[in-house]
Amino acid sequence: MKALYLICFLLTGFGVNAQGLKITGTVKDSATNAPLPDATIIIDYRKNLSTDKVDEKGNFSIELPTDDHVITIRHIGYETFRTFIKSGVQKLNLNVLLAPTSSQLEEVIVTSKGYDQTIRQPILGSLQINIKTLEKLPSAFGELDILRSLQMLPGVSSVGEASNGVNIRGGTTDQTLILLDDTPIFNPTHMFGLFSVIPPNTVNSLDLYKGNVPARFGGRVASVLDISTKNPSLDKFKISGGISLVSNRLMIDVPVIKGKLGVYIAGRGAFNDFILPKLDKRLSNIRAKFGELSAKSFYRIDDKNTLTLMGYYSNDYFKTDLLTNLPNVVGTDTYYKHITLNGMARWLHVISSRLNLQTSFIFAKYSPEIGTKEKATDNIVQLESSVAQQQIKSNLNYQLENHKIETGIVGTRYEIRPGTLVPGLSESVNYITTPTERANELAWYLDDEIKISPKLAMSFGLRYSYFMAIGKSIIRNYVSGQPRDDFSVTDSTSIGNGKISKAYGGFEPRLGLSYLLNDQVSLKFGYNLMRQYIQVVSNTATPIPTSRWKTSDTHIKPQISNLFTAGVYKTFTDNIYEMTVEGYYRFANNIIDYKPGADFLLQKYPETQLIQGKNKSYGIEVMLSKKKGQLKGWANYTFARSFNRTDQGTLIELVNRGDWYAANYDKPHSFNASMDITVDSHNSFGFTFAYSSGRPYSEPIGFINYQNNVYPFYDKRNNKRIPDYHRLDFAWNIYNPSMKNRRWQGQWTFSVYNLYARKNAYSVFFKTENTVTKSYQLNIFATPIVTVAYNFVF
Amino acid sequence: MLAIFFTYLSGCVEPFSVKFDTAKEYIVVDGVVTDMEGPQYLKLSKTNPDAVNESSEFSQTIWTTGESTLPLSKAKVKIIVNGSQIFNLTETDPGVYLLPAVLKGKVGDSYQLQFETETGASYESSAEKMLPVAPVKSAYDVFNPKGLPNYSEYYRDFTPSNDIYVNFDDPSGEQNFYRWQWTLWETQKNCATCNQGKYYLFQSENGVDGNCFKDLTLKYNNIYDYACEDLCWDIFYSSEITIFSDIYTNGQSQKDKLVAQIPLLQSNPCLVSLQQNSLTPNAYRFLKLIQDQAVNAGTLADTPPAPIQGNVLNVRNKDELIIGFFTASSVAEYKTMLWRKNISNLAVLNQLFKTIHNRDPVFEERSPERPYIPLAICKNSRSRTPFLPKDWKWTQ
Repeated sequence: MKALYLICFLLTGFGVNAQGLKITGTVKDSATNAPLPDATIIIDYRKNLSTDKVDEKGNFSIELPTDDHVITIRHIGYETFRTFIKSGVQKLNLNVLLAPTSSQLEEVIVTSKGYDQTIRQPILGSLQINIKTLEKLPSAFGELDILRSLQMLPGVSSVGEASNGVNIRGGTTDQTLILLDDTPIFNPTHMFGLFSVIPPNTVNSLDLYKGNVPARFGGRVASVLDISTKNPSLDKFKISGGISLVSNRLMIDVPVIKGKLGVYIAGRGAFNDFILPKLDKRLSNIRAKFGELSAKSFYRIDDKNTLTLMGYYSNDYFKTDLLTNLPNVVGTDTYYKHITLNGMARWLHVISSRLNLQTSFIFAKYSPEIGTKEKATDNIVQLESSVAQQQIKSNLNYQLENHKIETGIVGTRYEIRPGTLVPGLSESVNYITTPTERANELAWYLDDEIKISPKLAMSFGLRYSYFMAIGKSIIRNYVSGQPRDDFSVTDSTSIGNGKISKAYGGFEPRLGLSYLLNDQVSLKFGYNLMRQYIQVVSNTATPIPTSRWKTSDTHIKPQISNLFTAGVYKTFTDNIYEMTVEGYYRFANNIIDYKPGADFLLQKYPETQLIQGKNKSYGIEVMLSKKKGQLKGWANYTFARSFNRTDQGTLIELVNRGDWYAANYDKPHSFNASMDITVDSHNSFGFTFAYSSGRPYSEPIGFINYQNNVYPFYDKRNNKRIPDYHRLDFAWNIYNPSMKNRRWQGQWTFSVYNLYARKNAYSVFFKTENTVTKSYQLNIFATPIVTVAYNFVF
Repeated sequence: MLAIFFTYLSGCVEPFSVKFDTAKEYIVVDGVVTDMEGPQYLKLSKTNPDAVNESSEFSQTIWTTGESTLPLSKAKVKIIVNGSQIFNLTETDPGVYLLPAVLKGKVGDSYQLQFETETGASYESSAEKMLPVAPVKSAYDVFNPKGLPNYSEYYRDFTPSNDIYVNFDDPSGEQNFYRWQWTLWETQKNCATCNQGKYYLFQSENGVDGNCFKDLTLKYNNIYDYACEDLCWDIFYSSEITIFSDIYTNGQSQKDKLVAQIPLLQSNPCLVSLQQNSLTPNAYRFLKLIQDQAVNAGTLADTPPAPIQGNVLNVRNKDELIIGFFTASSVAEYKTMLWRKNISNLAVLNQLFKTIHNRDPVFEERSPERPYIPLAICKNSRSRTPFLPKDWKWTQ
């Protein structure tokens, strides 16, 4: 009623004004000059007066009463344009070029795709995260960590503070596809899960698809985290960098040919481990280093063609005598090392203002390594492995009045080297290698967004993927009905080089519907089917950097997941507040679990160690956010469950005898709140609070006397929970403390992580020593961590 | 900074309070047939549903109220060799079954356990073939001042140890699995301890015997220790699981493999028997699982614990979980005197009693009623012997 009254009043307002203001103009991409028909024009911050009537050539025309006006033009993925028009002006021509290059997307931390699109777009569970606002929030050790920040959002969790990835809506870490400029990231963390591998200063935008996943994405069953890096500046030389206690960062942005070719190079490094022994003698044998280097170039060949090249390299080295040795190799201290090398080349060809073609070539390689030193000779015995992916894809974008169509084809090649033991000069160790796994995947997809009526919109996606495991390989056959092990092998089939040993394929429909109840409220429904042909096999609580990747094959069937989502979306008070409620139910087939005692190291036949089953996950996520003003932030509550059940094997092999059991990351209740208070242009404060139920662990049920010792024994996996987790963080950002308008702009950040020193348990474990078993909890960040970080832009 | 982080990591393990019990009874099998000299035993027990296990926030040690396992008595136990010869075992102590002396393990023979409980349930193990084992080529020991954490209360955090390293040649052309165990003989000076009592010698059927007798005139917490009447050795056994597979090293010569940590309970010379055992592939896997679960560190790289199914099954109900393993193992023994010249703790000469009990012995004073304090008899048992151990040497 109130809203109606307001509209009436405003309409009256229009009526009484005799003289008018007419604004005409165009909205185009500043880099490609392509028109931006999806831009939204907002007048005087009021959504009611907004229009999206920008035609496909980018032209628009608005009539307004003469008065002071503020015109805002927004488009997803571009910097927002704002201008002030003084009263008295009657005619105005605005030709706006929106720059896509900066990360200053919106002053809102999390937003569903685009302004006002939470309500309208037929896509659920997709979040766009603004890196600028993440920077204002507190972070551990002053190091902005994207994966950790994501966990402040509903539906995103992990097994704990040191975990190698995130769990989204009941999915395992390897069920989330993490793309950095279209290249897959196989290991998203440094130092066993403490820091993300994504250098935050190069990130332009982060899109998380945890509900509807567009058909252009495939290969993982839970979700997609699509990270795109900044484009190099074409007009301004820029240096930015920073120092925190963990790492040093530098980014140099060089426009090589003004307006045509730009290049940047960015690096981050953490090499401060030499201080370790000075603090604690126990740490004298620890070496820990990591670093990343990324480079990107953007070349505008002409008005119709652009070429983008991206390269990314990351390196980790971690040596300790605290970690377990390489089993069955006699050695002293052990090191872990992993390298990621990714590259991407993308050619964009604009055929017409409605049609463009984008072709990209992608490669990614992840190579973890474990090494151990032999005592007498200092010779290093290495265990090397790698997973590599090459991909070529081409897609066509076509825009119509009521359709937005994207279709494409993708060819992917996988190559996994599961492990080779390289003895070096060792006289004790043999050279052992496991067969290389090769596979090809072909996919075709089509996405269409259709406006059926002003109230009803639909996103329809269809993907067809076809996966082929390729020889050369040896496929064992097993007696059916018996545990798959070395004893139940009947014979084996040899597959020749390049021959298909097994193929899987199928359609992957994706559907989203949105229905607008009124201007502020909409209902949405979504359904997804996704297939996954490559996964991590590991026997640890969460995969570790050296965990093995495995393609689907004759024995390991591809994972298939069905996700149903429904949600209600409402905005209040001129879009300042937004409330969303989303519920989901996911059912996945052929998930991977390991048999008790599984060992994947140099295992030639991993199917003997694995067991497949089902996962069911469901949950409800409530989120309230305040998107504008001096105080911005959000709060969310999630109820989520995730259960596994193994059912493809004999009873002895089945986990918990084939009953449903809680997944390692099953945390039923979680509550997160985040707040950013901008005091003035020089100061802002950030608070985050996180609470979640403890994750499950396995507790023994008794002890046995066995072989002169006492050992705990277990009957069920994940039968208890560790204590609940909660934490409060604080950050104070000081921008440009000199208060002078110089080119060099500095920023200090003072932050406290875990402000009230909660001793959160990361794990609970039991250790038997000299016939006595003791129970412990491991806390990772048990005290407040106070840090100061400095960043600059020049 | 990483420094700070690691300080957090290494210094942040705390006691965690738990309380748990078992509602069900599970049978536990502990048996290995070897080709070593001497009597061999097999143990059968069952978990106790009445035992409650508890730790508190202050003490991480889990205390068990009640026995965690109870002996499984009166079972009819037999071992079948090569699928045909049947040997019956006799119960010597509750739950402890003695293998007949005629049953000597032999490399290449296969052994299967069968038993029937008092209630009539029948169980059998898989047949385990005794595999050969390579001999120890050479061994040496290195003194380690921080060898064993939380071993003896006397030493508190770390008990020093003599760490034994071996070299051996792994045979090529076959898969080998190893396990190392040790037995230690230390000279003991004190042979009896009486709580609120005194030690008396008396005549029995087998000659002179001795024992403590209650004396209510003494305080309830009074303790008297009695010196041994003659030479006496305490026997200690390894409790750790030390195993190895030649999966990556088949046919190669192995060097500097740490296989035993002998605690420095006193600095006197001692005798160590190091046993290099062969394991069947399944026994290796089983022990590996037990080991993984026992040495958890709570980190990302741990394997979460799970129920472990051994190789013994209920004949009629294959789904019954039976804990433990029955296997056969060939043993290559390496016996050596440790002269302990490389140690830095000479203060513990003749201190076996003190390092075990964390106190000095308290001897009964002579009194008008007892002018002669008896010396205690060194009674032969699994953990003590009055007989000179084979291969013992007095001088180097």
